[in-house]
Amino acid sequence: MLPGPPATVPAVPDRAEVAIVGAGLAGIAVASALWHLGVSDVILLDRTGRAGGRFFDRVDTLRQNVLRSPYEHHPGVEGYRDCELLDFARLHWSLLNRVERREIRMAQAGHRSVVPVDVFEAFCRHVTAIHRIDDRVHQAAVHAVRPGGDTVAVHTDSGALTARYVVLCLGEERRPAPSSWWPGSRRPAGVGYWDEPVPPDAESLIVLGAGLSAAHLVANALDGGQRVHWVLREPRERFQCADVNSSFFRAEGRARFDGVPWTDRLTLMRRQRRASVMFEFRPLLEDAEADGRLTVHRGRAVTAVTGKPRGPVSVLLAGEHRVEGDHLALALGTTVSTGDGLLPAGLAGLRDGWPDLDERTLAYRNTSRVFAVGAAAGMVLGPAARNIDGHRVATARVAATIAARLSGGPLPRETARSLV
Amino acid sequence: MTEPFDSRFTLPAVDDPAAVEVGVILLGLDGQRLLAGLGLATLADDPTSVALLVDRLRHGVGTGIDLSTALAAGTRRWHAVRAALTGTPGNTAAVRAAWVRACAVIDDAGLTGLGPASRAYLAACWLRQSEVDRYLEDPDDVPEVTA
Repeated sequence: MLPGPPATVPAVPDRAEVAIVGAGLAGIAVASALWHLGVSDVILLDRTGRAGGRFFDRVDTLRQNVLRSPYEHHPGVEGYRDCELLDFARLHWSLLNRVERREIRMAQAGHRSVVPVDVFEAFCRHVTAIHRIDDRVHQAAVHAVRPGGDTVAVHTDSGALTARYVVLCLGEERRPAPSSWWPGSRRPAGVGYWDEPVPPDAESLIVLGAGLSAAHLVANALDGGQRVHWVLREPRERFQCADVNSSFFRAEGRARFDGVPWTDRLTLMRRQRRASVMFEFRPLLEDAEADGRLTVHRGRAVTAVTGKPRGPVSVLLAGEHRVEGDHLALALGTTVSTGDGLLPAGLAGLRDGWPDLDERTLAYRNTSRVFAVGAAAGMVLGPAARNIDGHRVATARVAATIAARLSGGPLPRETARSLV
Repeated sequence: MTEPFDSRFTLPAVDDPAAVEVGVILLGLDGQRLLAGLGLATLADDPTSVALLVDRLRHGVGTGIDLSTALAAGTRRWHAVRAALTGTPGNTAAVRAAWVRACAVIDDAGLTGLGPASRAYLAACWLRQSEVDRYLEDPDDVPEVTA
């Protein structure tokens, strides 16, 4: 009853009312909301060609089986009596194990709980199916977004598209290794990133990074019987129940951002974006370190990486300490895609690396036909902007604005005020 | 273990039957969706599949049938069996106990050829008969409670 995405990908059309760049969870949320507002001439452009493709690929690669977000957070639309994620899970009660059912009971009781990835993925497939998203996703890498007059040109590797409005749902890219770690642009043999598979024949693994992706890499390697070196720049691991303080998901948490001076927001964002690991990993990691399967190098900065085909990878740490393994997995965090690389120079209005967005509409102040949803809205919505619930908050503003403009109805009041 | 008092505020056991859990969700649906599901229930054995199919039809995602057709089929079926369903649902907050009782009413009605989906949707329609009948009288009278 729930068909998957179409097997063939139609060519990118040359025009649409709305183009959504990125068909991840934010893109799904925007397209779903626009559907309910009667805006159906919407095209999604995505490098994978699949709704949620990169998100679920990353989750699969890390073998992450639960999300950190609770049941209330999903890319569906509120206010239209669509099936909610929690009800969707309860409808599939017979397929859930006792742990998953207990998490649902916790959610029903108002406690924070985690969502199985497979339940979430099935729900996303339902959302994309009912809002006709699958057949509007086109595989295309967008390399330029050029506003001009009453339209916006979107240039892709599969041709150009003209839209009246463009929503950038770009998400976050993996943070690359510093150029000083190895000579040239080509990474040494045996070096991979967190969103790439670890070779199954590696007997020992080095993991660089202090976040949840690093923890998954460590845990997966230990589970596979590999010896692991875990290198942390910080003096110690940072365990917590969520990477973003859960208060930021709620209105009062988001209000902590409203009317707060720019410098205070920056400080808050830096603090909240610090890498952390879910508490659930702690016993496993501590046990493995105690019995010698895991060696944790705390407070160690990397100075160089070398590797050769069929040879060990070597990581030189500050203090001339050297660590060797069959494979090196880099989990150095992510960088927010702001749209700066797609828009004409200066149009994103970057300030301290963040785009200049209107707070009411999330349109770029310098080009009102282009909007941002997702992590790029962090300095407007706070740390939760990068999370699924933040997508919904942003989506509500963006979709309402676009629908009103297309229909000639009243617009959400745009702000002229800049943050000081 | 399930707590002795069953209400909307009770956390049920995790090993309660799936049919009861699904039933509780069906009880949260409005009359339109219940009738559409009843109309589609002959097409699938599983009430979950029917609930999601109704969600698709509400969004106009075609699978060879549309919402009005499903509604018409469900309405005919409801009218055909309603008289055979005895008793009144009463007014209780013990939703799981009410669901079990409703299923017993359906089982005792002498209806033949019912699959799990038809049984579940008939039980839900019987328990929510006031909302179902109100919908049939005035389809535009949408309850305020989010379903």
